[in-house]
Amino acid sequence: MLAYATRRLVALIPILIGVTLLAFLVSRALPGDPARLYAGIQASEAQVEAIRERLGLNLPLYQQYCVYMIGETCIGESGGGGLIRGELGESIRTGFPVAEDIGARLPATIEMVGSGMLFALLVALPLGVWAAVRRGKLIDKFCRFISTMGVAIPDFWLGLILLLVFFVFLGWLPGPVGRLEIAATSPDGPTGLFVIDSLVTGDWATLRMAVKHLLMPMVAIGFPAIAPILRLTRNATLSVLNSDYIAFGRASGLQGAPLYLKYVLRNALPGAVTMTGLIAGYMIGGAVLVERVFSWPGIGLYAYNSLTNTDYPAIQGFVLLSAVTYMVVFLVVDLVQSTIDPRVRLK
Amino acid sequence: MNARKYDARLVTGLAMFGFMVAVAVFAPLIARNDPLAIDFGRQFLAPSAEHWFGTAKLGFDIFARVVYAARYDLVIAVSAVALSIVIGHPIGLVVGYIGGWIDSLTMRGLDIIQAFPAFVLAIGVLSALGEGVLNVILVVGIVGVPTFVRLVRSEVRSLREHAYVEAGRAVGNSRVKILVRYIAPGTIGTVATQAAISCGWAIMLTAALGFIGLGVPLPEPEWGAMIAEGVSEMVVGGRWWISVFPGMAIAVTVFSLSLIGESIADLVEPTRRKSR
Repeated sequence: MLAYATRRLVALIPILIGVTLLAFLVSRALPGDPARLYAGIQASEAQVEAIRERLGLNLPLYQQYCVYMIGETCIGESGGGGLIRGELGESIRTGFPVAEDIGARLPATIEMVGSGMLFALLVALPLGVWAAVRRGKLIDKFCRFISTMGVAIPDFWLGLILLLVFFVFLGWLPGPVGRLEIAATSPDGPTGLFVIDSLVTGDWATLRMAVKHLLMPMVAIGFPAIAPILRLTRNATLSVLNSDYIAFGRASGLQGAPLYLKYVLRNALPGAVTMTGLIAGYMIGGAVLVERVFSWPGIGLYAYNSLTNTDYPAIQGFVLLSAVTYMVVFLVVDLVQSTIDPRVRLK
Repeated sequence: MNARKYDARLVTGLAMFGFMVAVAVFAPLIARNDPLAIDFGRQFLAPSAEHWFGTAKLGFDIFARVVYAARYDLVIAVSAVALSIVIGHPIGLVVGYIGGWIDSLTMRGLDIIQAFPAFVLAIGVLSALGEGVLNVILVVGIVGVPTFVRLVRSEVRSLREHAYVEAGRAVGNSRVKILVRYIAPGTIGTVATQAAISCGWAIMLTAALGFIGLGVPLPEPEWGAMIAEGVSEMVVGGRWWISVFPGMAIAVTVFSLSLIGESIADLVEPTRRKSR
C-alpha cells in the first residue's frame, strides 16, 4: 500500500510541473500585455512598469518561468516569492495575497462540494443497484430518464429553480445570502465547515441555520453528478449479477440485503469511486456557478468576483489551485480504490 | 428488448434537435420582435400574448432573444466540436497506430491539460484572450480535444490488432494506406457518438461561460448570459420568466443531443444493447 502510494506520488511530479508550465504559458504568452492584465485596468503607467519589473516580463521566457516558480533568487537577486513558496501574487480587488484569500474561502467550498458529492452518492448508488436488480421494470426506466435528463440541466439554472420554488414561492428555505443569516456569527470550531463545527460545539441554532442554507446549493451542485454515478453503478451491478460467484452465492442460500450490500455493491463500487474523482473536477468548476447563484462565500464566488473585476492574478491563482486540488483528489481516489480493490496496485 | 425502441429514441432526439436547429435557422420568421430592441416602457413584463416569454431589463423581448440565442449557442457548440474533432481525430489515429515515445509524450501532454477541470481551464484561457464568439469557439473546442484523442487512440489500438489489418499489411499496403483505408473508417462510429455527446457538453460549457460573463458579449443574446440577467430579478422581484425560459432551451437541446448520442452508441455497438 505504501509502495503504491509513493509510486503514485512520484508519478504526479512531472504532471505538476507540466501544470505550472501550462498555467504560466497561458498567463504570459497570450496576446495583450500581461503586466497590464496583472496591474488591473485602473493602474497607472508607473504601476504597470513596477509589475513588469516584478514579474520579470522583460526577461527571456524561460527565465520568467524560473522567476514564476522559485522567485527572484533565480535571477541572482535576494528576495522570496515564487510558486514554490505558495506565492500566487496579490489580488487587485482585495489587496491580500491570493493564496491567503483562497485559503480563507476554501472551507465554504469544501462544505458545499463535499455535501453535494455525498448527496449524489447517497441517491445514485442505491438507485443504481435497485435499477439493475429490477432491470427493465418501471424503476429502471425511471432511472434511465433521470440519467438522460440529469446531464441536460445546468447546475446553476437548477439552483435558480430551487430558489424560485423553495424561497420565493414556498418560503421554506432561506434566500441566497450565503452560509448563514447576514447578522449571524460563524460557529467557533476547528474545521471551518459550519455544519460540523456547530455540531461539535453543540450550537443547535447555528446548526439548523447552516443546514437550511446548505440544502439548496448541495442539491444544485450534486444533481448533475447523479446521472453518471447512477448509470455506472447500474451497469457494473448488472455485470456482477451475471457473474458465477453471485450465482454460487445464491445457490448457497444468500439473498436480499446481505447479498447485494456485501457481494454486489463492493464489486460495483470501484468504478463509482473513479467516477467520483472525475466529478470532483466538474464540481470545482460548477462551484463558480452555483456559488454565484447562492452568494456562497467560497473560492468559486471569489473566482467569479475576480472575473467581473478583471482581477487577473486572482483568476490565475484560482485556475492553478483548482488543478492542484483536482490532482490531489485523484490521488486520494486512486488510493481509496486500491484499498477497495487490491488488484489495482498491481497494474 | 427489440431494436425499434432505440429507433424511437433516435427519432425523438433527432426531432427535438431538428426543431431547435429550425428555430435557429428561421429565427426571423418565428420571433416577431427584434431581440435587440430596447424599450424602457415595457421592462419586466410578465409573459403575455404580446410577449410570450415576457420581457427583461431594458424591455428586451425574451421570446425573441431565446429564439435568436439558438443561433449563437448552436453555432458555437457545433463549430467547437468540429474543431475538437479536426484536431483530435488525426492525432488519435497517428499516436494510436505508431505508439512508442510519441504516443507516451502525447498522453502525458493530455494528462497535463486534463489536470485542469475543463470549465476552470476555459475560464483561465478566456479571461486572458477576452470575450467574443470566436474566442469561445476556440476555447471550448480546444478543451474538448483530449476526449477525442483518447477515444480514437484506444479504438485504433484495438483495431490494429485485427486480422483484416494484418492481412492488409501482408499484401504490402503502406502504413499510411492501412491507417487511412483500414483503420480510420472503424473509428467513425465512436467519434459520431462522442460528437453528439460533446455537442451537448459544449452547449453547457458555452452557457456556463456566458453565465459568468465570459461568453458572447451583451447585448447579443446567448442562453447562459440570459439566465444571468434574471438572477437578482428572480430572487428579489419574483420575476421568474427571465431566467426560466433560456434554461429550458438549454435543457431541451442538450437532452435531445444526449438521446441522439445514446442511440447512436447502441447502433454502433450492438453488444451494448444486451446490457440494457
